[in-house]
Amino acid sequence: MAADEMQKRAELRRAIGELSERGLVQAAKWAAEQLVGLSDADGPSTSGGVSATPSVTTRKSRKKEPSALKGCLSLEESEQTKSEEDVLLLGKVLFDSKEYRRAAHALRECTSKRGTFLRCYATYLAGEKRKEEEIVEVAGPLGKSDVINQDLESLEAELGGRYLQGQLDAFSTYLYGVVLHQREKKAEARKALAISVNAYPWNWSAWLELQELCTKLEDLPTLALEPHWMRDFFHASLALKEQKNEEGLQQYRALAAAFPRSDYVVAQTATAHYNLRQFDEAQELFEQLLKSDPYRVDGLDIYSNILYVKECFSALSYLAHKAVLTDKYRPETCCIIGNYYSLKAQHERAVLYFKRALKLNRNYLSAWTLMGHEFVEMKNTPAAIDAYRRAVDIDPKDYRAWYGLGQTYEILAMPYYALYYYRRATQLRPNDPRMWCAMGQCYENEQLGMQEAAIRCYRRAVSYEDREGIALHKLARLHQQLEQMDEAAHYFRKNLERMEQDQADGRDVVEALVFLAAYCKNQGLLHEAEQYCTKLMDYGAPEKEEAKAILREIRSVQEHGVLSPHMDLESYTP
Amino acid sequence: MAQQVTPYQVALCILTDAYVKPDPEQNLPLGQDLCLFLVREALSSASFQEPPLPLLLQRLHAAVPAEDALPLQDYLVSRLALATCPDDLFQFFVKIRELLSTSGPPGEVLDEEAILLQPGSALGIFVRRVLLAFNSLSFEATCRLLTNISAYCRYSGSPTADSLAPANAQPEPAMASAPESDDEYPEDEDEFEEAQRSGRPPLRDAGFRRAFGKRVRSLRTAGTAVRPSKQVEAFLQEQADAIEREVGCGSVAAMDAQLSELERLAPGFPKVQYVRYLAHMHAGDVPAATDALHRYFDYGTGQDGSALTAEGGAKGQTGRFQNALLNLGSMHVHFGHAAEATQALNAAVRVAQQSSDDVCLAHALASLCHLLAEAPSPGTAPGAPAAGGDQRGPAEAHRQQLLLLLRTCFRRAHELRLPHLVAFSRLALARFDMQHVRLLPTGLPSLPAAGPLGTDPVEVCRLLRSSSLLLLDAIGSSPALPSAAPSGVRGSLSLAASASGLGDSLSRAPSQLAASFSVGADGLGSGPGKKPSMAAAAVARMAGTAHLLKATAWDLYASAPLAHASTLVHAACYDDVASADDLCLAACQLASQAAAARGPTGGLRVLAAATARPKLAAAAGQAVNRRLRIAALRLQHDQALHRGDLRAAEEAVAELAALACGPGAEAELCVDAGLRHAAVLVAGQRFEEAAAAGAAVHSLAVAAGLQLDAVRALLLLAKVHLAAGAPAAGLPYALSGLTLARAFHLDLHAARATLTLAELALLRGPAHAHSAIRQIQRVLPVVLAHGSLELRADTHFALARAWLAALKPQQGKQSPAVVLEPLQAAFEAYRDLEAKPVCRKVLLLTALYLNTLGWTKQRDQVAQLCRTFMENHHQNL
Repeated sequence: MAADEMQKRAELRRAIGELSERGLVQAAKWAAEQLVGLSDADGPSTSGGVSATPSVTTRKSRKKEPSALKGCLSLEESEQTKSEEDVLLLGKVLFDSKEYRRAAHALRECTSKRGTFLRCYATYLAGEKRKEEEIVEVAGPLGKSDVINQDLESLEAELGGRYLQGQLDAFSTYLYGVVLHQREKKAEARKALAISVNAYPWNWSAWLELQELCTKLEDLPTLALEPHWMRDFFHASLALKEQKNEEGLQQYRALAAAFPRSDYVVAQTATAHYNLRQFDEAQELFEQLLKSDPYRVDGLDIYSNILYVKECFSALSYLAHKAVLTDKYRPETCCIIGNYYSLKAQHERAVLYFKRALKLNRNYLSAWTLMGHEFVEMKNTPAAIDAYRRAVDIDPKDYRAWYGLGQTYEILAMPYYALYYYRRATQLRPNDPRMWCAMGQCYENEQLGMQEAAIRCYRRAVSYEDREGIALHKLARLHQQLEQMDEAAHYFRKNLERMEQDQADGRDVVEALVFLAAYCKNQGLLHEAEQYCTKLMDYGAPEKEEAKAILREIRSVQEHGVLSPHMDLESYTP
Repeated sequence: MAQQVTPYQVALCILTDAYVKPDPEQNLPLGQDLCLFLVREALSSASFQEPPLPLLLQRLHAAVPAEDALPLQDYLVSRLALATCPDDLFQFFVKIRELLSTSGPPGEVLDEEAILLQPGSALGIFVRRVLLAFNSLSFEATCRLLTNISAYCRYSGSPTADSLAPANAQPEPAMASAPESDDEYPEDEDEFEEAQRSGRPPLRDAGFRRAFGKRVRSLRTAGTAVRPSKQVEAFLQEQADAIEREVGCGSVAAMDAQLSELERLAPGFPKVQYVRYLAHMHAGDVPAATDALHRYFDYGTGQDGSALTAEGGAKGQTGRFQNALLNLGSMHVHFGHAAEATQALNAAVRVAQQSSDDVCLAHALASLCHLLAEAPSPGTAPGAPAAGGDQRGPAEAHRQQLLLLLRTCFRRAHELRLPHLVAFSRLALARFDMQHVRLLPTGLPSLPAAGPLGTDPVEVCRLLRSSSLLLLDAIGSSPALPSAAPSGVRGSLSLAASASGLGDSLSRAPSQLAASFSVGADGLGSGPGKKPSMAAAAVARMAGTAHLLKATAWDLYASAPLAHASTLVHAACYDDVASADDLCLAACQLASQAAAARGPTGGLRVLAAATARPKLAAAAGQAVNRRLRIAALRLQHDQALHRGDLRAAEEAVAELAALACGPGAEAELCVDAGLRHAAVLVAGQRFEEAAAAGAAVHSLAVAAGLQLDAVRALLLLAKVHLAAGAPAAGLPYALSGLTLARAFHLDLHAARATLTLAELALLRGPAHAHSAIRQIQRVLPVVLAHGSLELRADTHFALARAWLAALKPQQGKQSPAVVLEPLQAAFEAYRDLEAKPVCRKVLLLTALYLNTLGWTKQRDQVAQLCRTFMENHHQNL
């Protein structure tokens, strides 16, 4: 176990060096986070590993190199000539100062693998930067436009040629995969990325890119990914993306054993809890996260969602304040503020901040959805539909947006039209009682009047433990409407039990009691009826009177015994 | 999306400039061809993409005389390449602006020869639009235009001889006559690759490239900018139209790829989703169609609001939702989901009522009519118990409801001045009148008193006539409807019963209507290229359908030449606007007309020829194929029956029944298959089974309200008894058939009934021969003028037999012609029908008669002929 950990530590340290000297900052950041996330039982201080020159680290660790690491790295470094080293340094510095085009130009003569990668990557980023600018020029910050990265084609040609000749190292293969992905060649991209992560598993960016390309969990075996602990991270993350939250949670628990102090694992675990609607656990984890890393912004939008749901005004405002101080121009920050304003019912302002978040990241899914919610609140249904639609076009698996679309059309009194959207939502979350309840309500709508279908929906909701208890009550009432009294009584009883457990109170309880009292009386279950009536006596005037009336009736029946089944039996005996 | 200027537009401006203000130094050849070329290019909507430079040059080459092309191309390319910095562009557009100042610089005397670019002309508007767009460009956008121009040039080079080789190789007239057809998308690509492969000379923008670094634009984006939105809209409209007609729209995958490309290049066209929805719907892909439909209407308004195409901008906001429901409803109607369609249409009606959207209500009504007309009426499902002779069963209620709805729809459409809906409801009413017998005004639906059955023949005629007149109105810009329909033609057209084969001819209409409602209301005839809008196209299509309905009506009323003429009018005039269904129906009608005139073999030949036509072959969908197959099977069945090949006939009937009697199939087809089955049984001498089958078909036809088929069934039953040799039992059937046929003005069927009566009379003995002759002679005019070959043959044969029975031997010798001439005519007709067994019978009879006359020489000849027929027959077997 300790040896295993030592090896991970060594691998990560080396990877951080290699990744950061190639400008793969996000991947390096992630790796460093995991490095400090390893348990600090023994092992030297981590700072040395990061800053050490790559050649040294590589040499140190090469002896323990796992089989997964292919020889390409060592080969590359040996062929690197001294003169190129200087140009590479210039290139890297220019890259770091975000002068990508210049960096690419400075590196134009480089032939080493690292130089090639850095040049191509700089070219790619320069194209991306230009693309972003052009989009704003052409279509405005939120518009859709056809602008593409103009450098993709030449990059694809260059990298593709070398790829076919087998001359690409793992990093360039990753870049090739990214380019292919953007060129909508998904199958090839998947293949290239799989090769890249198999050759060099420590590049988390490559895994993330691959995750975006994995549309189904079933596709996984076709990728032929070699076993590595990095793959476990990938699997866990993919499970979360595919809404297989239980599975993902388990995998993260396993990872937490190996990386007990990894903030990333904690954040992902919290997200899984959030997806499972276990808000308390998630909140606790987020609080823990913020304690250990107070200036973190990643993933905090989810925390703000939790605070929103729990209506923690002050905590949410505190979080927003902190986020603003940390980094005002992060989409997450804008989203947190938007959530806060939404909670304060200042919907115009919330929309403003969600829009700002979208300006910073046009494909920020949850901001589109949340903006849709705000528009619904503002009764601006066309805008809401548009926002939700943008969300589902970015990710067709966003069940919240489908649900939102359904709700919006329901508000517009088009229940039949809304059904389509609810159907999509239930397809994505077949185990979510809320979706089924929404669909049931749609069927129940007086315009449609499809009570049978509604009953089926509510039954599904009940079978998935509808915590809000809407389904049971609705079921009972529907059966009552259809005059199926036995079923109605069954569900009223169940609902009553549930409400007693939750110690809930309200109209539902009264309604259930009134129905059950009358039902039991008619069925001759006088004792039970009496119990219900007694309970009813605790409530307000009209029901109280009704209960009294029923009680009187029961008394008279008991006294005269006409309806009593007991008496019936006696009358038949000779 | 911001208005963009594209290199292609700049290129056209350069040519316009050269044309309007010729530079004396350049001495370019500038003819009218160039101007025509420019106008055509500026208005083209054949593709959503602008052509890349090589293609543009090629088209230019094709448009102007060969010797002029080269200097023009050279000039264009060199001028394009001149733009090396943003200021060049500014200078250029200043020059372009001067083109528009009509008066010219003050003080200068206008040259008589000078060409003026009218600001209101097509080209003037084009130039002005480009100018406006350029003036509103930001500096960055101007830089982008410069980059695009250089990329545009990059794949062309100068038009040297080798680059023009493909253009020269192509026959010139074809290029000139159909300049639009060669810029379809796939060919664009080919051209492109062609241009690339042929190794173009180096570019002339080296300076520019040095300044901006080596940035290779992708092949796709270079020069393939999207045309202005009006033209793209027109392109999409054409695609939608093609899909609606199901003719020449290619495969769904190809269409989808093209649409995705457009979506990628220009995300601002939600109508792409609409076209995709149509494509998926007609391909029968329910989930994909639903998906596209919902996406289209979700994007219908909102922030990008360019998609408001419903009636007027203000209405668009609210109109969107009922239109969405309306379209959803018509989609379910298309797929035959009756319950879903009703739900959606009801919701549409509710929303439309709330926003008092009368137009939408009228369309919803039309869709409901369509749903009712297509839904199998209750009690006619195969296997359902027959409703008996009661006219007021559920089927009748269904029909009455349909009629009521249709009338309301017609009235509303007329009030709201919606020409396509008026045309639709008129046609549907006419069709209804032709299909169903209803009570004449004395017996209103609410009153149980049974008035005489019948229809108002003038009504059918009027409805059909005015439908084609609508066409003129819809294409012209005036939305007004024609005033009173002309009611000049009275009495000639009559009534009704099932119009076989008409089942689907109207089925497309409501979806077209919904489409034209939500999409096509952007002004009649105002689109680029002056294409009639979708509503007008729908009306034109329905005008064509009216001719087909007319043909069926003439057919029923027994006027073969007029029926033929109507079908031919459709084939000749509406070929390019007709939907696949109509094309198919026209082919079937032509085939059956040919079969009536020249026998089933001729019909089959016509059908094969029609099917092989590229138009119909391109349209081949499942429904079309089924219809064509049914028509072919009917003809084959007739052929086999005539030839006496019972096994082939049985096979044909079995396949026919399998095709026609599936669940949800039209009752007409099923009844027809049943009748044909019974006919085979009669030919196989299985009389009891035949009688049972005939009775079953009759009750089915009555239950479904198919009066024509009921008459046919009665006649068949009479024929069964005739063939079984039981004249007394057959008589009531023949008589009631005759009564009904006369009441419904079905002259040919009345003739057939009379003929059967005569044959029954003959069977009862020579004493009745004279009355038989009288009966036959009474129907002879109709039969000889309009009857089919078979009917003519039967009549002649029956007449000859009647005379033989009536004449005493010595009388026969005096006038042998009365017998011999009909026999000769019958023989010839049967020979054309390839009915060899009957031919033998006729020849035998002739020989016997000649024998009694004592004309031995002729007798031997006929006997010899008879023998050859027998031998042939045996060989065939």
